[in-house]
Amino acid sequence: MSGEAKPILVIGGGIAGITAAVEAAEVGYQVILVEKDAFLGGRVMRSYKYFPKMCPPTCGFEINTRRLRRNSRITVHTLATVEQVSGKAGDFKVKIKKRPRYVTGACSLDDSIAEQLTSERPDDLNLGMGTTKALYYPHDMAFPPLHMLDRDALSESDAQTLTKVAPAGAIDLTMTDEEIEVDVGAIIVATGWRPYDATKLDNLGFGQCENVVTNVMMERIADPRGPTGGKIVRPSDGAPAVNVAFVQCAGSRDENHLPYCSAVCCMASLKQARYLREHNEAARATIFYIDIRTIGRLEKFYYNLLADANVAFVKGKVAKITEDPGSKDLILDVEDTIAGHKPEQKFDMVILATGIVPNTVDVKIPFELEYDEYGFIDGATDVEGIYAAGCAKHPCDVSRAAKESTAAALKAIQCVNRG
Amino acid sequence: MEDKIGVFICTGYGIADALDVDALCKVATDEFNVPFCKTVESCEGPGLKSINEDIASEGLNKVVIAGISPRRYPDHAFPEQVMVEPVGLREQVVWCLPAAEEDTQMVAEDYLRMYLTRVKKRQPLEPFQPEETIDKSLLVVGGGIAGLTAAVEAAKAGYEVKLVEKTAVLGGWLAKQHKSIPTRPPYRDLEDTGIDELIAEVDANPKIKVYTSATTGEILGAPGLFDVTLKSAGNGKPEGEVVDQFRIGAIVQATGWRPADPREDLPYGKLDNVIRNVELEEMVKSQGRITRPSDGKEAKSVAFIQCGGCTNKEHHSYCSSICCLTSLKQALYVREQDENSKAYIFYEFMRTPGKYENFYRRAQEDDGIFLTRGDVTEVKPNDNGGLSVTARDTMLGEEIQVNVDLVVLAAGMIPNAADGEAIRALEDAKVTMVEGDSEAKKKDAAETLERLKQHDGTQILNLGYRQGPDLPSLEYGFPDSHFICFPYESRRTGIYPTGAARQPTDGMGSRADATGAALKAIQCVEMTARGEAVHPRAGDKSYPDFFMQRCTKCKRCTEECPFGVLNEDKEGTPLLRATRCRRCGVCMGACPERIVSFKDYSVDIVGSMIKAVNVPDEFEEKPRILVIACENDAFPALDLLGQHRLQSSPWIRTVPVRCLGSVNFVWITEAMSAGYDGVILIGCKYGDDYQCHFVKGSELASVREKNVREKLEQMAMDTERVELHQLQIDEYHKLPGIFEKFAELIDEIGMNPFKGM
Amino acid sequence: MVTAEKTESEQLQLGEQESPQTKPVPSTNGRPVVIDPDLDFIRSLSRQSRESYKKCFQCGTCSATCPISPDTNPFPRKEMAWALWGMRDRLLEDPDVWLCHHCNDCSVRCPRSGRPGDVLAAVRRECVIHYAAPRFLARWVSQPRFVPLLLGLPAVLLGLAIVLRDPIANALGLAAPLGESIVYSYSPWLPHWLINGFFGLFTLFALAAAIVGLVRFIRVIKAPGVWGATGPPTRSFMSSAWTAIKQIFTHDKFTSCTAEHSRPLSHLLVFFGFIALSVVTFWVITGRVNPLLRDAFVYPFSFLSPWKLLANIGGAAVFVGCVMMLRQRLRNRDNAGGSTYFDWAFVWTLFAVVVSGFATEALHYLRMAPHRHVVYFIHLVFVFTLLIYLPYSKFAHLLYRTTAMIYAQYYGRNGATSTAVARDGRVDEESHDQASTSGGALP
Repeated sequence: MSGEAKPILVIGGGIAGITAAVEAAEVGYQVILVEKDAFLGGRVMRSYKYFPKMCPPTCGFEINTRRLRRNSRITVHTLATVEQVSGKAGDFKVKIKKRPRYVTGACSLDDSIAEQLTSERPDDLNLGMGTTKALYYPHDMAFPPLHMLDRDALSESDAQTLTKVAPAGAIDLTMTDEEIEVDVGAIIVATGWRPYDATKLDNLGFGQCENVVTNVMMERIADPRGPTGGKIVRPSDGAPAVNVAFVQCAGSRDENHLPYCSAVCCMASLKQARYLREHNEAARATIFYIDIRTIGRLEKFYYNLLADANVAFVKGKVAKITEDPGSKDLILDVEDTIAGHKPEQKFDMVILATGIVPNTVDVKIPFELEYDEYGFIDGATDVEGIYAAGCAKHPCDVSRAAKESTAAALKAIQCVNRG
Repeated sequence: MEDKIGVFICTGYGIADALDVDALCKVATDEFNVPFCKTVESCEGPGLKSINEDIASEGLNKVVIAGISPRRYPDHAFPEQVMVEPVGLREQVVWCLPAAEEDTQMVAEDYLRMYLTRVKKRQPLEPFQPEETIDKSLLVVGGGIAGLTAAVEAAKAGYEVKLVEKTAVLGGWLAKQHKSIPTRPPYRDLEDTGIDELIAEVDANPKIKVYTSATTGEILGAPGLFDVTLKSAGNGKPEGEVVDQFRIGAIVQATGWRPADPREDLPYGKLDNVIRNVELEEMVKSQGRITRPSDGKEAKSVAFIQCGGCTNKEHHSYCSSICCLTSLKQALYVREQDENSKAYIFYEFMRTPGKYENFYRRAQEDDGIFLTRGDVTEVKPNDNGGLSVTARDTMLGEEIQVNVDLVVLAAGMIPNAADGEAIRALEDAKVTMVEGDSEAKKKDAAETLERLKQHDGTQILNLGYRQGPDLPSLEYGFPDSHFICFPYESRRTGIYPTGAARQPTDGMGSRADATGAALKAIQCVEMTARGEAVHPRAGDKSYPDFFMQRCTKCKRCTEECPFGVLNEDKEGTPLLRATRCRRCGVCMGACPERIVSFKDYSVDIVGSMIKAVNVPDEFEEKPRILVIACENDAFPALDLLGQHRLQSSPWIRTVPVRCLGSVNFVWITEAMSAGYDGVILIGCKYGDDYQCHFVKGSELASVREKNVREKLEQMAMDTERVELHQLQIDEYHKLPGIFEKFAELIDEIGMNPFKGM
Repeated sequence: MVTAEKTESEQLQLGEQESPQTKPVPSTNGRPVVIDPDLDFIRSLSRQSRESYKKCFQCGTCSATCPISPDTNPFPRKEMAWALWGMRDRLLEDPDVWLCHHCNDCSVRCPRSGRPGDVLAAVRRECVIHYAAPRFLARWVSQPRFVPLLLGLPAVLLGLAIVLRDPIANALGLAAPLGESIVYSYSPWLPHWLINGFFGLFTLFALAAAIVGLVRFIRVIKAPGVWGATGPPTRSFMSSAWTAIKQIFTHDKFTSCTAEHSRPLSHLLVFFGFIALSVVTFWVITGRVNPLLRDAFVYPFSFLSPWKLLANIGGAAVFVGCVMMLRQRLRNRDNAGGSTYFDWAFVWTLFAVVVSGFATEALHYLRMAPHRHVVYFIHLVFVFTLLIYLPYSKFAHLLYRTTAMIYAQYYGRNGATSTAVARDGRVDEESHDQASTSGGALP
C-alpha cells in the first residue's frame, strides 16, 4: 500500500509542518518537507516557553527531531521554497528551489571559526535585535545541525579568512541555487504566520517610543539565548523593567487592522507576565484587555495569575501610547471600563500583543487556491489534494496546530492512496 | 553471531588537540582487545562514508565512534544490522573541559570504556512479532460528530472500522441541534449541522460496521490484538446481552460530553422558565419555537447567562470553549422568531477566538441582541409570569435588571471519559471492605469509597487493564497526557481520546480532532505490525523481556508502569502485553529482582557501563560522580553545555537512560560499591506541569530516590551522596553549578569510604 | 493627553474644586435600573449609521481617545452602552452628548467601526426632535421627504405676503415710502418693512420655540441625577457663560481633534462668517431707527462700505467654510463624520443661503431685474429655512451646545478631575485593586 504511494509534500517546517511530516512518515509514507529558513522549527523556535506549562519548546522539539532522525522516509529540504505546482490531487509536479547554504556538511564547523570573522548580520532568530557573525549556527537545536553562511553579509576579506581556517571541504563559496523537481501525491500547507506589523498601529508608539516592544520581541528578551541574555530590561537604557503594561488586541479584533481574534495573544501575554514575575519579585504587570480568552484548561492559568497581587487586569483597550521624553516612560491613554474612569497610566515598558498574519498574505502557494478574506487557506475551502494546517488555516496555538497537522496528514494519506 | 567490534576515533573537531588519541586507541586495543581501531579525520560526510566502507569491508557488527554527539546522526546513517554507539567526545569532553589535561583524558578514556562495554553487551534487536497477526481494523467508541468523522476518515484511508454507539441513533449532540455555528468563511451565518449527510456517509461506507444501542462490555488485549465484546445497552434488547465479539487493532474514544449542572445559586430546577442551553436547543429542534415551559407562551425575550453565571469562580475551573458561541447562536434563534423579540447575554469574557470573531460581530449587529459583561446576582419570578434578571458590574456602570420570559444558562461541558485509575482504586477498596484483614485497612478503604464515590459505575471502555477499566485522567477528567506538543497522547497505547471526550471543543474542532485521532490509531496499528514502538520512542524496535523464573510477584512493575502495559494473574504474576509498551523501561527500574531487560538496554548493560569506569583510589583526590541523565532532556542539555563551551566537571561520568523512571537503584548501590563518591540523577520536571515524556518517570525516580537513601543509610553512607535534579532541556547553564556544588559537598563529607574495597 | 492641554479656565477650576464632579448614575434609590430596550430607537440610530454601531464591544477606546472626555466619566462609551441597550430616555436626557464636537477621533480609532461620534450626532438629532416645540416640525425637518413642504411653506407664505402687501400695509397704516436715503429701489414687491415684518414675526415664533426647547433642556440638566444633582454650582452663571463663550469663540475644544484637521477651520470660517452676516443684517434691519446708521444709511451699500465689506467677507467665509465641509464629507467619509441627512440638510441650506445671497448681490450690482428679484426671493426662502427652522434643524446645536457648555462650566462638569490619578505614574492602589478583581463598581 504505502510502498507504491507517491510522497506527501509538506510546505513549512514549523511545528505544524514537522508534526504533519513525522505523523505521516510514521504511518509508513514518504514525506518531503520543505522549509524556507536554514533550520526547522519556525516560530516556536523563537518562543521562550510554551503556555500553560511554562516548558521550553525545545523539549518537544528534541523528541520531534529524534523522530525525524529515526525516520528514513522523510527528506528535509531547508533553504527551500516551492516555485511551481502543477497537476492534480494524487499527481502533483512540484519545482523546489534550494538556496545555497555554502556550508557543505562534510564536516561540522566550530563556532571558533565564526568568531574569526568580522562580517555580521542582523540576528533574524532574535527578530533583528542584535547580530550574529556571517557564519552562524542558527540555534541550539538546529536541525539539520549545520552552520549557515550569509553570503551577502560576508566581506571579501572574511571570505579569504574562511578559506584559510575552515576545514577542507566544509565551506563552498561557489554554491548556487539548485532546482529540484518532485512528484507528490498530496500537499500539506503549513506555511505559518508572521506577527502583524506593529508600525501600522500608529497610535501605539511602536517604532517611535523605544520602550514599546511587541510580544514576539518579549519572547526573545525573556529568553537567556536572546539579545539581553534573558534579562527583561528596557531597550532605552537597559534598566530592569519593573512596571510593565501588556496591551492586548494590538491590531487584532480591530477592523482598522485585523478584524479577527488572533486566538493566542491572551495566553501569550499572561505567560509573559509570568516571565516578568518569575524574573523579578518586585515587578508589576498590568494587562489591558477587552476579553481574556483563556479557553478550555488554559483558564486555570488566568486564575492563578489573578491571585498574584502584582498582576492587575484592566478591562479597557489602550487608545494611545506616548513617551515621556525625559524618562522614556510610557503614558497610556486607556479607560478602565469596569471602574469607569481613566487614571493616568505610566509604565517602564509596554508589550504590544500583536496578532497573527498568515504568511500566505505575502507569499501565495503557486497553485490556484482559495484564500479567505484575511489571506488564510481555510479548511473549508481546501482544494482536493492540498490541505492547510496550523496558522496557514487560522490563528491557533501549538496544540491546535499539532492536532490539525495530524488531521492533514490523514487527508494527505487518503489522497496518495487514491492516486 | 560472533561480535566483530570496531572503534573509530575522530581526530578532527579539536579532539586530537585536546586528547591523546593514541592512548584512547590503546584503551580499545589493549584493555578491550578490540581488533579494529582506526583514527579518522571526520565522522561526517566523506568521513562517515569511509567509516561505513570500513564497516562493510571489515565485516564489523558492533562499532564505537568516538567523535561527535549521537544526536548528530540519523538512524539510517549506518547499516541497519550494525550496532553503533557514537560517543560525544566533542560535546561532552573536548568542548567543556580543559584541553590536554590528565583529568580530561581520563574522562574520554572512561567514556570509551563505557561505550565499549555497552556495545559488547548489546544484542541485535528483533522487532516484537506476536504469534497472532496484528489486526489493523479500528474501533470507534461513540457515534457523535467526532466518532462519525473518525470512522469515515479512517475508512477513506482503507481501514476497517467498527463504530459503537450506546444510544439507538447516531449523531450525538449535533443531531439534537437546530443549527450549527458557522464552520466556514466568512463565519457569520448559521449553518445546517450536516450531521444527516455524515450519518448517511457512514451508513453507506462498506468498511464501517455500525452498532447502535451497544456498549463496549469488555476490551481485552493490547494494540493490534484488542478483543472486544459488545453488549446491548438496552433499547429493545435485554441489557447486557452480548451483541458481538471481534478483534481490532486500535481504539478511538469519541464518547463526547455531558452538560454540567448549573451553579447552585441560580434557580435551575426550581423555576420552570430557567433552562440550560442544551434544553433550549432541543426545544427549538423539536417544536421549532421557543416557549416558556411554565405556560407554553411564546418567549419574546430571553436572557442567556454565561459560565452558568460567573460570581462563583470555582464553578468553572475550566472554560467549556463553546458556550459563548452557543449563546450567540441561540440568541439568533430568538431573533428569528419575532422581529421584536429580545435576547440578552451576560458574560464575563466573550470568547469567540480566531475567525469566530466574525460571528460575534454578526450577532452584535442584530438590533435585538444585547450583550454586556456582568455578574448575574439574581433571577426571580416577576409579575408577568416571566423572570427578572439582575446583574452587577455591567458595562453600563450600574446594576441593571431585565424582565424576560426565559432564562438560559450556558452550562459547561464535562468530558464523558471515566477515570480508570479512580475506578480501579474504588474496586480495590470494595474488595478490601470485604476481605480486608485489619480494621485500619478497612477504614482507609471506606474513606476511599467515599472520596471516589462519584466514579462508581462510570466505566465506559471496560478495558481489561490491571490499572483500571478506562484511561487515566489528568486534571478535570481530561484523559490526555501531553496536550501541548503531542495532543493525542494518552496513557494507554493505541487508545486515542478525541473530541469533547478529551477536552471541551466545538463541532468544527471535533472534526479536525477526530481526523487526527484516526491517523494516530492507524499509525499505531501500522507501527505495531512492524514491531515498532509508538511515540515518544517512535520506531524503537526493542521491547522488554521478563525473566519470569526469578519474579517474586511483588507487583511493582504492574503498578508503576505509566501505560498500564502489564496485567497480572491471580497470584500477581505480571503478564506482559508487549504491544502496549512504550519502551521507557520504568518496569526495569521498578523491579527489585532485575528481571526486566531490553536487548540494548538492561540493568546489566547500564550497570556494567557504570562499573567500566576507572575509579582512582581516594589518595588521588579525584572524585568520581555518576550522572544518570534522562536522554530526552538532561542528556541533550549536557550536549548544549558543550555547544555553549561552558565548563563541566572532570569528575563526572554520565550515563544516559531512557527515562529516569528506568533507573534501577541497584545501579546506585553498585556505583557506591565501585567507589563512586556520589550520584546525580537528572530528569524532567514533574508535578502538575510535568515534562516527562513518559508522564511520571522522573516522579517515580524521586520516590525511589528516597528508598535509595534508606539503602545508603544501611550501608552507613551519607545520604547526601545521591541527588535528584529536575532540569529542563534549556537549563543547561545550570549544570556547571550543580556539578560544582556537588563536588564541594564531596569535598566536605569526604571521599567514598568504600573506594578500592 | 487631555490633561496636558487643559485650558487656563479649566486649570483654574481644578484649583477651586475640592471633590471630583462626576456624572453620577441617575439615582434609582439603590435599586437596579430596569431596562427594556427601545427597538425602534435602536433602529432609528442604526439607520443613521453607515455600519452597525451595535458592533461596539465596549472596549473604551472612544473614551480614552476623546479629547473632552473627563477622567472619571467614560464619555462617550457610556453613551454607546446606552445606545446599544436602546435606552432612549437616558440618552435624550444626557446633556453630555452636546459637548461632543463630532471631531470623530473616536470613530476613526474605533476597532469595531462603531463610530461613536456619528452615534452621538444621531442622538443629538433625536434630542432636537425630543425638545422641539412643536415636535412634528422637527420630525419634518429631519426627514428628506418633507423637503418640498418645508421649502414650499416659506415660499407660499412669503408669496402671500407679497401679494397681500398693500392690504397689509393699509391695515397697518403704513405707507410704502422708499425713503430718500435709499437710492435704488430694492423691489416694489419686497418693501423693507415687509421683509422686516415677515421675518420679525416668524423669528418671534422661532424664538419662542427655541425658548421652550431650551427650558425643557435646562430642566433636564438640572434634574436629579444629571449635572445639577451633583451639588451646588461651582461658580456664577455669568462667569460660566463667559468661559463657555470664550471657548466657543476660540474653538479650543474643536482644535484638540486630530482625525480631521481641517474641520475646526471650516467650522471657524462658517461660524465667524455667519456672525459677520448676522451683524450686517441686524444693522440693516435696524437701519431706519439706528442712530449710528441713520445718516449713512444709503442702500444699497457701496461696494467699499465697511458694512458691505464685512458682509462680503462674512459671506465668503461661510461659502469657503461650506465648501470645505462638503468636500470633507464627500472625500473622507470616515474622518469627517456620518453625514446623515440631518447634517447634509443643514450644510446645504447654509450653502444655498450664501450662494443665493451672492447671486442676488451680483445680479443686484448688474441691475438685472427681474432676475435679481426672483433670486432674492429664493434667497429669502433659504434664509427662512435656515433661521426659522433653527430649533428643529441641526442648527439647533447653536442653542443646545451653547447651553450645555455654559451649564457644564456652571456645574463644573468639565472639570475633569485628576484626583484619581496618581502622579507617580503608577496606577493608584484603589483602582488597581478594583481592576484586579475585575469587579470594581463606579468610584
